[in-house]
Parts: sequence; structure tokens; C-alpha cells
Amino acid sequence: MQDEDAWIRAAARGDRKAFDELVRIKRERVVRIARQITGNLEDALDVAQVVFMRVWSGLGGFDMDRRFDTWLHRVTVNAAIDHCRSRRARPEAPFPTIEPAAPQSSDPEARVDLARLRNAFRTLSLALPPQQRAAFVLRDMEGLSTTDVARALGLAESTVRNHLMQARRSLRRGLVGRFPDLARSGSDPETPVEEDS
Amino acid sequence: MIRHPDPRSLWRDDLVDASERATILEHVGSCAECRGVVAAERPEMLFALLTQESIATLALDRLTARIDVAISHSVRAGADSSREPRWVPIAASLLLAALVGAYVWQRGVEPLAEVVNGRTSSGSSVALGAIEVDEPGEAEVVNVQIGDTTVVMIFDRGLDL
Repeated sequence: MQDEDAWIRAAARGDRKAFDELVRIKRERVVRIARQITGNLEDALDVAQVVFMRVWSGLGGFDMDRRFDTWLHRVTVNAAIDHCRSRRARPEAPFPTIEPAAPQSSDPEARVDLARLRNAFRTLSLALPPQQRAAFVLRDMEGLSTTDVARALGLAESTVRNHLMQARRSLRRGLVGRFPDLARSGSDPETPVEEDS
Repeated sequence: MIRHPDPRSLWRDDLVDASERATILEHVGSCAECRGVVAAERPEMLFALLTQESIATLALDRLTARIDVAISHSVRAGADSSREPRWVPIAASLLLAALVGAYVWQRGVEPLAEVVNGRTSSGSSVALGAIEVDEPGEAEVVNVQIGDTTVVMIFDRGLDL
């Protein structure tokens, strides 16, 4: 972590090697978040490029008392949402199809099952409103605390909790609708998920 | 008879190590029954499972190369100039223009046949030329290019100062 701080400070002074190291450390997370929001890898790579260019040009004025990751997440989410909006605004650029999910199991039947489940999940998550999706990605996919999600999105924590509750409910309801076996154990899909920030 | 690991171990960090956790996650990914348990008791964990895909290193390296090219070429130039004081290239250009102007002024009224080009250390360019004007004077023209901006200076020899 001390190393990371040193890279950030050096990059802020215009040190290109330090910035490259920062890119190496942060790129996977940035691409992952962008992919969850945009829905495919190619768009995520475009977004990530924009993000790191913004970081490079904005780092000189970055307040070192603030958390770099919070700023990075904010830039990433905003760039990804902007990208989705511009993509929808261009009629010649159709909304991308969902990439085939990477299977994990060696059982062919289970593999197909999981791939279908993943695709359904992606379709459902892409249908969420952008702020809900961003809150959900940062909290449930990336494991940020609700406080950090609120800072990254510039929202009140109560708003983030509300977004999360609605996102989880929509996703769960959608998944259970497509895969009834997920509704076993008599669980109630309307029950809000426990919030543990 | 399939042996199912307890998926509840996933949210009891103290019960399983990272390797066991990965094994359970893989099983949950392929077992509808265990997925049902996770979906019912920890739906957010199921969501995490469904998006648990690593990004290929090749794609990440491609991204790094794209960033490198973008910074090295167009954007880097802008970022650099934003970090150095803006008056440096402007002052250098104006100084060069003044020197060229003084030189032109001292050459007398003979029209200049050629165009003299100069370049400052910051990359700004200066072009010196002449235009014909009505009698009795003649004007020397100095174009100073600073980034996208062109400053045109006209030294009118016909002016009686």
C-alpha cells in the first residue's frame, strides 16, 4: 500500500514509469467494473483507456488527502455510464450481445447450465438503471463498503442502500423467473438482502 | 451419490481456506441444488459467482499498449504543457518574434524576397515575410504560431512615428 501511494505521488508529478505501474496495478479492476456496466470486454477496454487518460491528465491536481481508489472508481463508473449513453444514442452501434461466459465445471451439462445462468444474469443486470447497476457492481461484485460506494458515486448512503435493494430484488426476481430451481427452500425473493457495510 | 460440500461454508470465512473456498464455488457453479441454497441464503454471493470471470492478460496488455500510445503521442503533449507554466512558450515565441522584428526593422526598406522561418525550443514556429502595401511604405509581416493560435504582427514602414 505504501508502494502504491509512492506510485500515485510520483505519477502525479508526471513520472511516466510510476504511472505505468499504477496502470498495471489498477487495470484489471477498472476493466472488470467497466465490463459489468457496459456488458462486454471491448467496450470495457475503451472505457478503461478513457479512464486512465483522465487519471493521467487529472492526477497533477489530485488531492493526496483523498483516497485514490474512490476517485478511480468514480471516474470509471462515470466513463462507463457515459459510454453506455453514447452507444445507445448512436443508431449504427447496436447494443452488444453478451459474451459467452467462461465455464468452470468439467460437467458439460452443468457448464451449459451455468453459462445460461450467467448470460441471463448479464442480461438482467444490463437492464438495471445505470446508477443501480453501478451501485450493485461496486458493492456486490467488487466488495466495496456502502460508504465507499456512496463516495464513489457521489450519493448518500441511504440512496445507495435503496439502489442496492432494488437491484438485488430485480436480479433475483429475474433469475428466479428464468431458473425456478433458484427459488427452492421456500425463500422469498422480495425479502431485502441483509446489508452489511 | 453426489457429495455436496456445504455451500454455507462460503460465508463463514473461518471454516474454509482459499483453496476449499474455490472448490466449493466451483461446485456451486455446477450444482443447481447448491446454487439454490446460496440463492436463498446469500443471493449477493450467487451474483458474485455469476460474474466471477478473470480478464485475459492479453486483453489487459492490449489496454496498456493503447494507453501507452495515447499518452506518448497526442494526449501526452497536452498533459505536459498543462503541467509547465503556460507563459514559457508564449514568452519564448514573443522574444523570437521581437528579435526577428528588430532584425527586419534594421534591414531598411528593401522588400524581403524570402521568408525566414524560425522555431523556438518549445516547438512554436515563427514565419517572417513581407507584403506589398500602398506607397510610400512597405510592411513586414511576422506570423507567430503558438499551438493552434497564430499571432500576426505587421511592421508598417510607412508609419511616421
